[in-house]
Amino acid sequence: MHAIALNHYLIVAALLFATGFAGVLVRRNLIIVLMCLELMLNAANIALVAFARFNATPEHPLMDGNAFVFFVITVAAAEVAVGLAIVVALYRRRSTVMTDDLTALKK
Amino acid sequence: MTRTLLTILLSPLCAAALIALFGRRRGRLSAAISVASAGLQAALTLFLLVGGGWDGSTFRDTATWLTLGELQIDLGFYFNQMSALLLGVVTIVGFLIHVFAVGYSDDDKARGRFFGGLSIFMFSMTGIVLSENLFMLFIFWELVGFSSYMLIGHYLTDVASAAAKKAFIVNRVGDFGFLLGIIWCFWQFGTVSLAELPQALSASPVAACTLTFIGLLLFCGVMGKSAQMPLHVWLPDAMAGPTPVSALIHAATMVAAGVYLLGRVAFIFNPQALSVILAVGLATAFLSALFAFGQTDIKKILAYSTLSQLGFMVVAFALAGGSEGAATSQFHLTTHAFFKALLFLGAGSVIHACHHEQDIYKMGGLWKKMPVTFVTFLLATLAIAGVPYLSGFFSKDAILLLAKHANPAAFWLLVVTSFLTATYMGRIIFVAFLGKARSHAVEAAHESRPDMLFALVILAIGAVLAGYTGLYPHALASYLEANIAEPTHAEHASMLLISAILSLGGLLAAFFIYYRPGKNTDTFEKAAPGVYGVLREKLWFDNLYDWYVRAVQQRVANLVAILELVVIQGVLVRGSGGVAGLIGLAARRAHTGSLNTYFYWFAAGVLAFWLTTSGIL
Amino acid sequence: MLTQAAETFRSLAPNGVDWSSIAPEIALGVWALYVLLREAFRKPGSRGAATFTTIFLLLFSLLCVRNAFAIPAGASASFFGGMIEQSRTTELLRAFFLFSGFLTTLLGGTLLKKQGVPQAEFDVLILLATAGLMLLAQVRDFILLFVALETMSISMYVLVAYIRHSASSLEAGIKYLTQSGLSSALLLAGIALLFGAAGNTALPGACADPFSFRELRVFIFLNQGNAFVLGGAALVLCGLFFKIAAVPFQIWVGDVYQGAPTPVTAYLGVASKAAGFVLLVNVVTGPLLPLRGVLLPLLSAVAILTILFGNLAALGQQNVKRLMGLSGIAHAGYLLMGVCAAMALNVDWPIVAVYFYLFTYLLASYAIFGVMSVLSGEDDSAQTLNDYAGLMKRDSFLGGILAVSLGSLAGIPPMAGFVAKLFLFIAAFTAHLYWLAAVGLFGVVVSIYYYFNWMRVAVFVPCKTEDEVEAGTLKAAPIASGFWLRTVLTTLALITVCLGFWQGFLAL
Repeated sequence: MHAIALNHYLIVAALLFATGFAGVLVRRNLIIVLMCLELMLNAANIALVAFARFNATPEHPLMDGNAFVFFVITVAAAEVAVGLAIVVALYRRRSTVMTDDLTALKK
Repeated sequence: MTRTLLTILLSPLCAAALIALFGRRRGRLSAAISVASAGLQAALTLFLLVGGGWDGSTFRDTATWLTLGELQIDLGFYFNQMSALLLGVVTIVGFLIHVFAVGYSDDDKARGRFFGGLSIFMFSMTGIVLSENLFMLFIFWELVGFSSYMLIGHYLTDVASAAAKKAFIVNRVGDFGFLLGIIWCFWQFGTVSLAELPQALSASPVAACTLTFIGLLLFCGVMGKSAQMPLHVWLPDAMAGPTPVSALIHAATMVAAGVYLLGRVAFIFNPQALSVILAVGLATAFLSALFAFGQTDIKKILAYSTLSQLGFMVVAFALAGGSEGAATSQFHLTTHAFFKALLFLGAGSVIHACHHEQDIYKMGGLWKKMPVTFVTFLLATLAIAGVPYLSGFFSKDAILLLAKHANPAAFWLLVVTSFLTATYMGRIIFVAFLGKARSHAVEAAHESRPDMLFALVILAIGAVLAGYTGLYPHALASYLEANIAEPTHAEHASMLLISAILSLGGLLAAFFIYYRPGKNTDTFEKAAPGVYGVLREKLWFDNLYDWYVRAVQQRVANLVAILELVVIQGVLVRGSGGVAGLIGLAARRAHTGSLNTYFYWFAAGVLAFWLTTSGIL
Repeated sequence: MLTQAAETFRSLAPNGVDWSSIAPEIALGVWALYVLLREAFRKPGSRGAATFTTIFLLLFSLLCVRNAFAIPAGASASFFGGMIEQSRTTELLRAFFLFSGFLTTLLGGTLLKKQGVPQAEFDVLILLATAGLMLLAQVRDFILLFVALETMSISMYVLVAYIRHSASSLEAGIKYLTQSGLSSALLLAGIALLFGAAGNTALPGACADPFSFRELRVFIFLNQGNAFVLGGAALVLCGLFFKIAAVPFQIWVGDVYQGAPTPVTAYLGVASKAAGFVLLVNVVTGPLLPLRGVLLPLLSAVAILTILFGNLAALGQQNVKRLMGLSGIAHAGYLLMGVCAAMALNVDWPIVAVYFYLFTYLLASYAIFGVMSVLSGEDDSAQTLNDYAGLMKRDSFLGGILAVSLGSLAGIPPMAGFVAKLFLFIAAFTAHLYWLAAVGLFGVVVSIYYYFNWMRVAVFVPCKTEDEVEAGTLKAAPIASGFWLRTVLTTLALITVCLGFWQGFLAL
């Protein structure tokens, strides 16, 4: 029976991050792109919390790492709120949420 | 002292600012402001030179402008006998030309702009004269270039704006070399201060080759500003500007700035550099004198004459180098400023009287209608031809004497050039002033306003007397006498003879060739159309540059355009076949405007950064 | 009761907490709330708070400049447990951001009226973004860095998409949001890696506070080969390079600059880029300085690519907003040159040169964007060079402002831009970064071409209606612009010229 160690958390975080990045790269739907971005932020959150938990010692409690996560969650929420609002407004004008169709600005 | 110099430097700048603020629509006001500032400059300069404001010693005062780590750039004045001489020339000739310009520009609608430009020019030119270091000098160097650009294009015609553009671009070519020279100089010696460079030079021995390069790079600036071959093409075109501008900037002062720069950094040129400079100067002096025969526009003839005389000055410097070469060239610069400004103003007086007719074959018989202009123009012609005991005689003799001692080949080339000078100047006199009027405009000509004549007369006095160093303020006289080679008694007689023969012979030749009252064709052109054609086309220098721009520069531009097309359009957008992999995939769609493709840039960036920091890449 | 609460509050706070140290940021936030509330309860037809906001920002900016010179040079103070550090430089940077906020609201007043969108929310967002930017000037800690950066970014997303009825504005907004979001995620991942490495007590010099720049620097110095440290540094740089739009994180610039409302484009191009540089400077000369051996070649390569990409992409560009954006990439390249020099030499004066360049860039850019706001037509994103044809004749004032500012951007003496470029090149030469300087010079030459092309169009190309104007059948459309805008544009141009002659106050 192995205890779950720091590395396990980090591997999960890395996988999540990679999934998010890959999704951003290949998915065409803006809403999914936004979700993938959230995934990446949360991957970083997992890493932060895991580091804070496993590196902590009585002298260095590293509570900052945990506190930071709450800021990130707030920021992510704000980001996604703005993002969805723009997507909705855009959908009203263009009737699409696909990145392929949003190419009015180019050259 | 500092305060006086500062006032001399800044008064035209204040004038320009005032004109910009209040004078744009008030021509008379701006003329008054501009002339007043030039007058103040001249008065203060006279105070320094003859009024006891300066004791003749070298004066230096600097203030730190900015410090960058170990680099410190100063602003300041470095005022010695040589700068005093040029300051005198610039302010006094400048003032007279301002006075003349008031009358000349009375029918100009954009008078405010014109005088504003003149004042900016006076500011920048004074700055060049007084600059303590090469960096500061370069700033003013660019500023005179800018004001010259503004004033050449003053009339806003196509020809004028093309000429202004040409002058600007050709000067940029020269200035690029100049700037490289300054940077290299700083690199090598750790200073660009004109006062400290000589010590730095002797303290740190550098390879001859390096020194030659630095010298030649600095000379690039001279080639641009003083219009030496092959960068001379802009000066004849610059005659599209108003005539007082041609007189002030493109004859008397700005084009002389290059020669002045040579004198300022005389210590940096080694024999190798000097031999190149000599060749350039000789080519300019001789070929320009030839080209003058191919022109019929009075201002263009004078422009080629200016080129030729600038060639003389450069040759004078290159023959001896050091302080001797500097003084000899400055001496010719001074006399030339007087008689050439006079020639241009005389031409301006004629052009003004003939309703902007500039072709000498449309003039004729002007001596009766404009006696004062004629007499002063004649004096200037005799002076430039080198007729004994006029100003040009002394300075040109000094150059011939130097050449005779140093370089016989150069001597003979200069002798021929002097003869040609007398001939083409005689051509103007015989065709334009003597004989009979060849057009109605010229028949109706009348003498110019008294204030314009005032400037002509004063300059004429200068053109006659500027060769007598005994009349100069003591500090300047001692400078010139100490540094210019004095001929021995026997030499004196022979030089006198040579000069008399050259000048009078040249004028006589002009009389026999060109004095055909009433005829309006060029005798020489008729006799030898082939040679004349070559001269008129100025050895195709302009055509060569045009060809270069069309054939080479345009092609390179086209090539770049094609590359842009291929690389950006072809490879990045459409070239799917050749470029494989992630970056190719990202790059192919780089400019589609689609978000996903943009994310690939991020992926590539993250990858590249990570690999680099991890030491794999 | 209240005193007791305050007392409790104070006792809760860690050492070094001094709320007055961030009073300007708090004031901005409070003012933003006030504007929002006032707008909510405003009677239709009554005046909004826009004018006051503009004046407020300007006065505040001047106040910060005054404060800056009250602080002795070289002195610095830490607050909030070392999270922020204040010195004369940070105070001047605050003034810089306040000033750009002021200019943005001013331009906003011109443009938004034309587009028929309300200004109150615009001002609120500018205020909040400015507060974030001001904090960024002072951060010495990765938590606050991230939070302040996002405060700025999220306000910016809304601002970019502010013209809600314009599809291009919205498109630019979502493009900026997603790409900026991605860069934030990269930055955050980098911070997490650094945090993880620096908190590890098994490694030498493990930090008690692994987010603090000061402690991280010591740790990184002792663990230069650590994979987490290196990867973290790379990711943090990715995040920052997005903000300054350096290759390869520059691809968003063209689209977003074009689609965003012109004042926001200016704000993005100047304030956001400046914040990116402030952070970059503080990070690479702070915690990441021990990695100089690895990072200097990387930054130099990025600078070279950035200069090349920006200039080459701007060549032949017809849309002026894209032109400003793409050429702005090149400017980021020159600035990176200064950052590289600062890293290589490990001295402060190239940093001052970078900040000075940013200030001259602010002057010139805002002047140009001001002219663009005035000229902007129905579709704000479709401003092309053709719109500038004959500008000199139609309105020589705007033409003159444009000439001075383009000259400054191109680095033509005697404008300030020339001196600023000169400083950066001197810095690069002093640091022996010859290749970088050579590419930079090449870039400057190329940039003269397209900036002058713009000028050429404004001066020499006749405008479409000109023939009719001359025939007297049609009057040239008068170009309307407010008195205050003109005054401010004149001031910007004047400062540009004056700084070209005198920079003695710069203690370089």
